[in-house]
Amino acid sequence: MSGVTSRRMTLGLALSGPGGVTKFRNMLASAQMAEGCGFDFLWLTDRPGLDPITMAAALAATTQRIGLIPSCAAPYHRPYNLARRLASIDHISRGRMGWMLQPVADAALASKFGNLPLADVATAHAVAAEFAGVVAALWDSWDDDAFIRDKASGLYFDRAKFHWLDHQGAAFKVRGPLDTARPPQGLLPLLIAGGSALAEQLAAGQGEILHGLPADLRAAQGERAVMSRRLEQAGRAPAALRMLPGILPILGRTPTALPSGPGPLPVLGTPEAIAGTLCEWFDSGAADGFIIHLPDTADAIEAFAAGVIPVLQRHGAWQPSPLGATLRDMLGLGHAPSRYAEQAAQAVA
Amino acid sequence: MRRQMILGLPIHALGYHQGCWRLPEVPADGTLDFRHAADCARIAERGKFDFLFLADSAAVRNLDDPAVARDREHEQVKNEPLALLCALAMVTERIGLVATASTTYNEPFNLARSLATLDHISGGRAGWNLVTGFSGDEARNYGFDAVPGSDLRHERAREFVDVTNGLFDSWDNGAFPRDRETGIYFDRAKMHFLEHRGKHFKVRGPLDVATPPQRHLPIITAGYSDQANEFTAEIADAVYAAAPNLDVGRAYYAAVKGRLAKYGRAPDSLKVLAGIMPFVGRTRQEAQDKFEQLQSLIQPEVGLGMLRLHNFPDLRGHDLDGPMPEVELSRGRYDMFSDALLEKVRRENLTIRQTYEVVAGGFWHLGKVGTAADIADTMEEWFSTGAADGFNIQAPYLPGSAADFVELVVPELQRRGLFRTEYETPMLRDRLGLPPAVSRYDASRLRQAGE
Repeated sequence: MSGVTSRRMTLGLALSGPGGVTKFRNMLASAQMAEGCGFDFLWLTDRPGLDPITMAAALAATTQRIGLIPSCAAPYHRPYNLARRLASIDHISRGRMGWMLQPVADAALASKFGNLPLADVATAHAVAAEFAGVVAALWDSWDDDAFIRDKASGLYFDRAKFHWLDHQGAAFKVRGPLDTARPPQGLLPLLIAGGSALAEQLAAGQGEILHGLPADLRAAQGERAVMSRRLEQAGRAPAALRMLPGILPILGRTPTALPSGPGPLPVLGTPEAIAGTLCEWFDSGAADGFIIHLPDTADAIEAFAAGVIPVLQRHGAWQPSPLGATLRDMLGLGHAPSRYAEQAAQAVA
Repeated sequence: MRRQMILGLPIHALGYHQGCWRLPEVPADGTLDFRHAADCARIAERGKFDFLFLADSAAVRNLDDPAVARDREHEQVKNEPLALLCALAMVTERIGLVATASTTYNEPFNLARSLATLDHISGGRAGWNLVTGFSGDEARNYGFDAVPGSDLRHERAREFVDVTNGLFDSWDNGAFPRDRETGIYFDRAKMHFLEHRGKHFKVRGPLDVATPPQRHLPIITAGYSDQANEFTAEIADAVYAAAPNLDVGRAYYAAVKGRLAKYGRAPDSLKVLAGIMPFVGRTRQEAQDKFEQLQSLIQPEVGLGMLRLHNFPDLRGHDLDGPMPEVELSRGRYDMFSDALLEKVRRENLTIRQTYEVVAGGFWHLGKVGTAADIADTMEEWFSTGAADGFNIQAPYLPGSAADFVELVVPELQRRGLFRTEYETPMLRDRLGLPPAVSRYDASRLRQAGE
């Protein structure tokens, strides 16, 4: 068993299967179970069923500590709409929101949405990068201390502390400012699903969580090295992006057929064995934590958590986060200063 | 059963009166605090209100006009309505949840999905306040240089509603057997591709959400233009009217209901909701004191800004307590109101300060200061003489004046038999007196069977 490190493993949860998608009470049961078991966040993937973004708002009101990361398909949203909705849920949840941006939605989904042709993949990634940039910039519309709300003087906000965005890019033209205050986290952690050089580039530029799909520890270490270089090229520190590979835990005896093809890595065995693998990856620096893929039932969540999480805790890799922790806190990401505060600090220096 | 009033509570920041946020009892940071909204929601539900209403505009408006003192107002930042209502659905059980959403700055599939989600998680309590967006500030957040013309916006809105209702009809009743024995999750024969191809949208469907409990969400509209009124008559289930006095209220009521026959609709199929800003007290004196306290908290910069938004010129630098100078009103969205206001100024020789106090006191809608009986009298008169089927209660400050209304006025309305004492039906549609929504495919089958 290794000594106590200053790093803390982050545990995210992604649910699959039709379980809770049309029945909100199932989804709520899963979210509350995940929270009770200590998961740091729930990734609300874009499955058929309820809209993951508005559903996150309902879950924000019915949970106290778990982070919530809905998937958002860039081609079907407008940056201003998404920026205000996500920021609002960050206000409602007191800093527990993140977001996952899909540059390309699958073709089946695309045909349903309608009059938005599928751009080629590279263009889609460029548009997604611009999208993410506009959303993050809109969140900086108001400085953290813009709102004075002084009843005596009658001043509600300081006019010197908001910013017009006046963005004019290849895909979007947005004036700003956003009609909600800077979200509690300032910047909501952006999750990118890896798997291609284009996705890695997007993650290196603006992502704060990368959901990678390495096939083994060596591949994970290789991915870490590649991302460190990409981050450096983008002028960001290696720790600015949390690497959370996808894991498909299979508790108990070896099944006859393992899932094959692209997807989260199947890890088989007893809870101790699975926890051992996770700790090995974490200790080696190949991963900052994991996104655990489970079927969408409260039982499956409980079975995994009851077996594996206590072992991780004994190992010193994971501990519960305190009530009031933001998603950034749970990810070990620092405070996100506004770009305007940073510019001002640089100007002074 | 005797006809009863419909009551909505807009959760409008910290209240409708511009002085509200400076009252000692109002939580000045409540606009973004979920607990504030939840308090308001619970109060309204305690009062058996039909619905909560969240107005919206996806912009901070007029921020670049130095003559409009936005920095001294409380309502410029807020939580987005659909997100806030999904959260409020979790802390309420019966009250309706009406979200404002624009057809100009959304896509039908996305909005249908979000509205269906709200309807599912609330058990059929969702409503849609459909707006087309009138502000240039909003347009500029979505790639436009100016707001698209009213005709174009309403044309898009018509097609938008056709698409969203079509998407809500993607699944027939009973389409999801979810049968563990047979393994059949949904019945393909009961699924419909929309295959919509119109001028503004191309949408295949089906919606990937099961049919919302209400199937079609009640649609509320507002607006003052001829296009808006025609759109209301064609599409809306309820309309949020703006009428400062009984004569205007009756005229509007008759006019908008008069347009319904053209669309084969009965007068009762559209509910007219008037706005009323009640300043209620246990005595008339108490009500008057509260009203004056609020009026005294309006900052001159804010008052002048309000006049500016009602087509008046920049009056900064004039003596507030001197007479209103000769002014030429600009033209815009609020012509009907600004013209009436100027007429009143001339008739009553109002000073500049008195003029903005008139606006702040609920000029647009009905402002009423008095006891519960006084306010109930006014509401009853509007309700029973063809000016309103219900009201949006524009609480001057929140949550306090909503709580006063629920404690004082609601029991008075109930005593008179004008308002419910218990929630009867779970769904907002039923509560608004709308018939159950029939899928377009069922409707067409019924028509064929009848032929």
